[in-house]
Amino acid sequence: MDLLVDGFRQAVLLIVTRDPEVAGITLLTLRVSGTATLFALALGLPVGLALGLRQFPGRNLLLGLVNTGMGLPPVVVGLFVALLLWRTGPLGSLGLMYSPPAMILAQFVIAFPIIAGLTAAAMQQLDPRIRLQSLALGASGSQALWTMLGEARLPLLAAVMAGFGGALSEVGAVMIVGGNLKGLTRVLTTATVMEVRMGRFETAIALGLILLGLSFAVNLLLTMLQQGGTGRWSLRPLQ
Amino acid sequence: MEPAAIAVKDVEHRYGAKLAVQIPYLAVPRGGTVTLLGPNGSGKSTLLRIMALLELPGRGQVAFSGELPATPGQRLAQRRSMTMVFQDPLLFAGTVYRNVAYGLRLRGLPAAEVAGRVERSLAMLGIADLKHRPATALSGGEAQKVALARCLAVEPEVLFLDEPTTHLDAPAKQAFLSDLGGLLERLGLTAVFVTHDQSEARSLGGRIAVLEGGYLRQEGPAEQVLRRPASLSLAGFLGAQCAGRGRVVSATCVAVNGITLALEPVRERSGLVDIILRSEDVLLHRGDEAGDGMNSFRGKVTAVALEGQLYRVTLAGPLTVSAYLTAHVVRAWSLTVGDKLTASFYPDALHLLPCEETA
Repeated sequence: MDLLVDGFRQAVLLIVTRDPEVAGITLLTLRVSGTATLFALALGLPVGLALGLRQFPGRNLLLGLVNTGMGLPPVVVGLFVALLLWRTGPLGSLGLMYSPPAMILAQFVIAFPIIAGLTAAAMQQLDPRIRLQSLALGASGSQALWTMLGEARLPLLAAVMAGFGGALSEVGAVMIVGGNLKGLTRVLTTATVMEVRMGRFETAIALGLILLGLSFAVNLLLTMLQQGGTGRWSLRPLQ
Repeated sequence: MEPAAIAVKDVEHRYGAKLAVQIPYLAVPRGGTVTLLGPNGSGKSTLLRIMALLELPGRGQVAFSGELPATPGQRLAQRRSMTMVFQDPLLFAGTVYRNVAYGLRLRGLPAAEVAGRVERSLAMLGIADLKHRPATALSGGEAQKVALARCLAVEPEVLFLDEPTTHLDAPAKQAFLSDLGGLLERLGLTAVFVTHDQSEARSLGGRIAVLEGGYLRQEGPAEQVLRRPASLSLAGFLGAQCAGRGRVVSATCVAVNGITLALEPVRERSGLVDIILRSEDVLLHRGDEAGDGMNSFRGKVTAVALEGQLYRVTLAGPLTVSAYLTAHVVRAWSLTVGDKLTASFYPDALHLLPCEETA
C-alpha cells in the first residue's frame, strides 16, 4: 500500500515539477500513439466502410483477416516491423529502425485492424434503409454516406477509442522497434517496464499513473465528442 | 397534351434470375394519385424505387414530364423534386425538428427558411408540439407523421409512399390516411402509393395499377378497377366475389340458376360467364320486395361472421353473395344461419367475366 501511495506522490511530484524527462516521454507517447491512431483511422475508416457496406468477392476473407488482426500480439507485430525495417530488410534503406516513425508504424499495424474491424461492424449493424431514406430525401451519394456515419457515430468513436487504446497500451512492439532509447524512443510503457526491471517501483507506478491519466484524458475527450453529439449530426450542403 | 409527371416505359428488372417487375407502360398524371396495388412479392416496391430513381432498372426507362434524366447531376436534381415515405418511419437520431429539417439542410437552404418550412410542415400535420421531442420518444403514429412532415417540408412535386401504414394500428392508420388524403388534395401533389390493401387504395381514389408476380395486370380509375376486375384471380384479390356462373342471353340480361338478372348493356359478352359482385353493392332485407330497377333473389343465410365492426353475412340461393350488416340489424333480426333473406343489387353492380374454363 505504501508503495502505491509513494508512487502516487511521486507521480504528482513529477507532474507538478514538470520533470523534463517525464514530460518528454509523455509528449512522445502522445505523439507516437496519436499519429499511429490518426493513420489507422485514415486507412481503417474507408476499409471498414467498404467491408461493412459493400459486397465484393473476397469480402468475407478480408473481414476474417481484419478481425484476426484485432487480436495481433504486439510482440509479433514488433518482430515483423523490425524485420521490415532492419538494415537488411526491404525498408532497411530508410534507416527508420529505433526511431519514432518505426514505433508509429508498429502501433499503426496494431490500431488499423481494430478501427477497420469495429467500423465494419458498426456499419453492418446500421439499418441499410437509412441510406435509401437519405437518398429519397434528396441526398447525394456522399451526403448519404455522411448521414450513415452520423447515425453510426457512437460505435465509430468507440472504434477510434479502442484503436487509440490498443496503440497506447502496447509495449512489446515499441520495445522491439524503438529500443527504449533515452530521449529518443522512450515512451511511457517502455519506461515503466524499464523502471520495474530496475526495481524503482515508485517511479514505475508514477509513470503508470501518468499513462492512465493520459489514456483517460484522451478517451474523455472522445467520449464527450461521442456523447455530446448524441442526437445530432451535421450535414454538408451540396456544393 | 401535357406529358405525364412520370412515365414508365418497357421497364424490366430482375434480382438474379428472378423477375422482379416487368412493366410495358405506366403513367402517373401530374397532380394525380396512382396506387400500386398487389400482394407481397408482386414487385410494387421495386417499381416504386425505380420510379423514385432509387434503383436503376435492368432495362427500360422512366421519363419525368417527358424528360429522361441522363447524367448523375440530372438524376440528383430529379430525385430532389421527389421524396418517399417508407413502411417504417426511419427517423434519424435527434429531435423531430432535426429530422424534418434534414432534406432542407441537404439542399443548403438558409437557416431561417429551414425553420419556417419545418414549422409549416409540422403545423400542416398537427404535430407542432412534437418539434423538440427526440425521435426515439414518439409513438408509431407520431413517428410516421413526422416522416411525412419531413417529406412535405422539401415541397416535393412527387410523393412516393411505400406501404406507410403497415405498422400502424387501426386508429393511427385511419388518421394517417385521412391526413394524407386531405394533404394530397390541398397541395395538388402527384403521389404514388404502394399498398396490398384494396380498401386503402379505394380511400385514396385516383388510379389503381394492380401488380401480380411482377406484371401489370390492370390499370385504370380506382372505382373501375375495383368494380371491374380483369380476371377472376384479380377479383378475389380486389375483394370482389364470384357470385355464380350464368349464361348471357341478351345484351341486357344473364340467366343464372333459374333466374334472370338485368344487366347494364354488355358488349362482346356471350356464352358462359362468371358473375362478379362486391359485398358493398349488395343490400340484404327480410321481405321479398326489391327496389325499383334492382335485381333480387331469395336465399338462405349460410354464415354470419364479425369482421371489424360489421357482420359479414353470406347468402346462398341462385347466386352466393356476401353483404355487410351492422350489429344492430343482426340483433334486431335475431339473424342466424338458416334464416331466409332477400339480396338485391343494381344491374350496374354486376360484372361479367368470360368463364375461364371455356374461354
